[in-house]
Amino acid sequence: MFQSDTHLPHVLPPEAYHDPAQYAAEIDRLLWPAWHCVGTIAGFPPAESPRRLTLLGVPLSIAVEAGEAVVRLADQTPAGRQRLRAVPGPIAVRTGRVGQLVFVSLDPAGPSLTDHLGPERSFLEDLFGSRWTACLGSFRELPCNWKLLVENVLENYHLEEVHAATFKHYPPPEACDHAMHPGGSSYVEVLPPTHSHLRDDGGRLARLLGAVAEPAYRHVVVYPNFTAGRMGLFNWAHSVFPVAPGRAVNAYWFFHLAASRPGPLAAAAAFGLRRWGRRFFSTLLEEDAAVLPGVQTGMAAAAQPTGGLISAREERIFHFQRHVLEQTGAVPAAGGMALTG
Amino acid sequence: MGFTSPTHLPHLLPADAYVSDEQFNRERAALFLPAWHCVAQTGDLPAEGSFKTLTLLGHPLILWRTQGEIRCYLNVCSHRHCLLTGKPSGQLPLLKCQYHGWEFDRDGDTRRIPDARSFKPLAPGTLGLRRYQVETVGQLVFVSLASEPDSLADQLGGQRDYLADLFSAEWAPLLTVAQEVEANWKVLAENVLEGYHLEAVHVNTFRKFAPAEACRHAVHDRWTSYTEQPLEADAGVRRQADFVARLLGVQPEPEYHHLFCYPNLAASRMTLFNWAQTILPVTPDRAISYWQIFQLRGSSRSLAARLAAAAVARHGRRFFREAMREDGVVMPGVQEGMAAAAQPTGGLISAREERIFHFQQHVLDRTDASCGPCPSEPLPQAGCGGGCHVSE
Repeated sequence: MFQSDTHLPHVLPPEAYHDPAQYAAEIDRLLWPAWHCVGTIAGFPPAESPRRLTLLGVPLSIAVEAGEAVVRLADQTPAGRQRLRAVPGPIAVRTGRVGQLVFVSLDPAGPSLTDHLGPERSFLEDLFGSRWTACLGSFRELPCNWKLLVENVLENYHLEEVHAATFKHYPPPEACDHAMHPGGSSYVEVLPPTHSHLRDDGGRLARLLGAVAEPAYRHVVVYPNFTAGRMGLFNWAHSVFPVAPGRAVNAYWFFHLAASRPGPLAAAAAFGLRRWGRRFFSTLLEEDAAVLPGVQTGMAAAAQPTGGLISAREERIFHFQRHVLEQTGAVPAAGGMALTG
Repeated sequence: MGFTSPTHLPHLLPADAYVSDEQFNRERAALFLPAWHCVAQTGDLPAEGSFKTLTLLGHPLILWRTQGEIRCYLNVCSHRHCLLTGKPSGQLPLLKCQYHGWEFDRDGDTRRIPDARSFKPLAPGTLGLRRYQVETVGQLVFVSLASEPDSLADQLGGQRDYLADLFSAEWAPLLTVAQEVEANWKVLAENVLEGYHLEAVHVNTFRKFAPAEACRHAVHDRWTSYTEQPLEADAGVRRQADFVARLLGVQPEPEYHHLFCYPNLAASRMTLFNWAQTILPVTPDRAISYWQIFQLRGSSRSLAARLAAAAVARHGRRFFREAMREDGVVMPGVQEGMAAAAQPTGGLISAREERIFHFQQHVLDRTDASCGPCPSEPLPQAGCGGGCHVSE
């Protein structure tokens, strides 16, 4: 069930989703000290042709050397160093691994990766361990504030309207369980008996692969901008990279259970799973991308509707907004803190 | 001669008024937010449930025909602020948010909230859509963002009936264009308040301006107008237009008439065409000119009339697109000149352009903008006597 008995107010006002001053405060206090998932170890090229990636305005080059991701500042010219003066603080690139995922921190004064991930570290180590094979990666820049991309995955209320071709339905409250902690939140969904066929199908496919599937859907967010989900035979990691007050990159890495037994049946099952997963998750991302710019436009509108509220089903958004508010000192939405618990 | 001023006139607004954020915000607050704006035509919403979305002064709006009436709502859901729909037009039995499926009835009240039990306690009537006032004049649809605007009739200053007649069912929609121009909205407005630029800018369309003797200006607190008598030099073209009008079964109207209702609506009539133009500011140096052009429908349904109508439509589309292109080429240059770090000496408005003077005075009066520098000698300081409030 949900933690809140009532609906909740928006803690952040619409301006917080397009105001340059609020954006600067978020970069400075929330995102700069954080660790950022930048990809999978298998997805980075060798040292001869490193991949370029801009993280919070800092150009990085990433390559694999001796089996580990090596991340360097990409532009060491005087002009490049000059540009870096605009970033919030001194830069010391640190890298870390969680299973197959590569994390980067730019802030020498920031926490360790273990501290940053908090209670979710062991879950993530298992989730992105060697039992899983990458099946799809996606970097897509959207005309949206970064917080909208995070909030979108903190609730399943939009599934019926937006994900009509993929998830289709959201579960009843009885199947949902939310947990909050200071650095994030999690959501567990236990399939109701009416959906037992899905669990059975997943179990059969997992047995073909020689693996064991965990039937419960679990989704976690590690503030400020990393989320991960596990859905039986699939899992995914998700980073949101802010680009401007009204622009952000939605980065996803999807995995499926790897075949752990030899033989053509297991190989065929893995092939089918990969193919189905790529199609399913590509469609899913398209569905989100079709609607999210409309949320940003609504937030930036010259007039706002009366109301504005968060259902108990969306309570993880309330928790996220409160975290942003507390960390950045944003001006709360009018009446927005009246119901804070 | 029908000009009201015997002399040229000074610019009342300084160049800075065309680039300054402060002046832009004053104009937005004093001129635009309280006003009515022509943003659509009834033909855009032809059937029950038809909708059209648009953005007016930063407000995403949805116009929706329900039970025969056109209503306007803020196109933003009262749940999580998403646009109800991002589609430009379509058909909806109820307004429905694309994000979480909230549905709203014809009064903008919530009709269905999916998983409503996750929202409690929910006071009824607190989550409706924000509604705006709508009026129609002929086929034109006007919207006001103000909660208690002046009446549209007042804003149009007695021209309401004229406009209702001008955009009556006798005219068929021909072309609708939203032209975004990199210039202050006043540059676009002033451009249509004078025919002086026709020879230099509209070399493929209008080509020349009329002699002063054929021109007549009228000025009013809320509007100005320009009427042009038929020219002998245009007799050939006029004969063709008259011939087509008779084929269509209507009596040709020989005079050209142009009306500009403050702050931002121009309406014009030629023999076979008329048009409404709404000018909307976007930023201090960007504006949208929203053109709705109509063609004389005529009463005859003969084969000759239908062929003539098709030819007129084809000619009209080509002609007006070219005229818009011609203006679109030159107006950013005006804006660049206005934004220049140094300004030329002088700066003046001819008697032929006197409607601009009147327009600038309206803007000045409504926004408390500082007036431009008085023109230096030896320019006659017609009416500028240190202030700029010339009596009409």
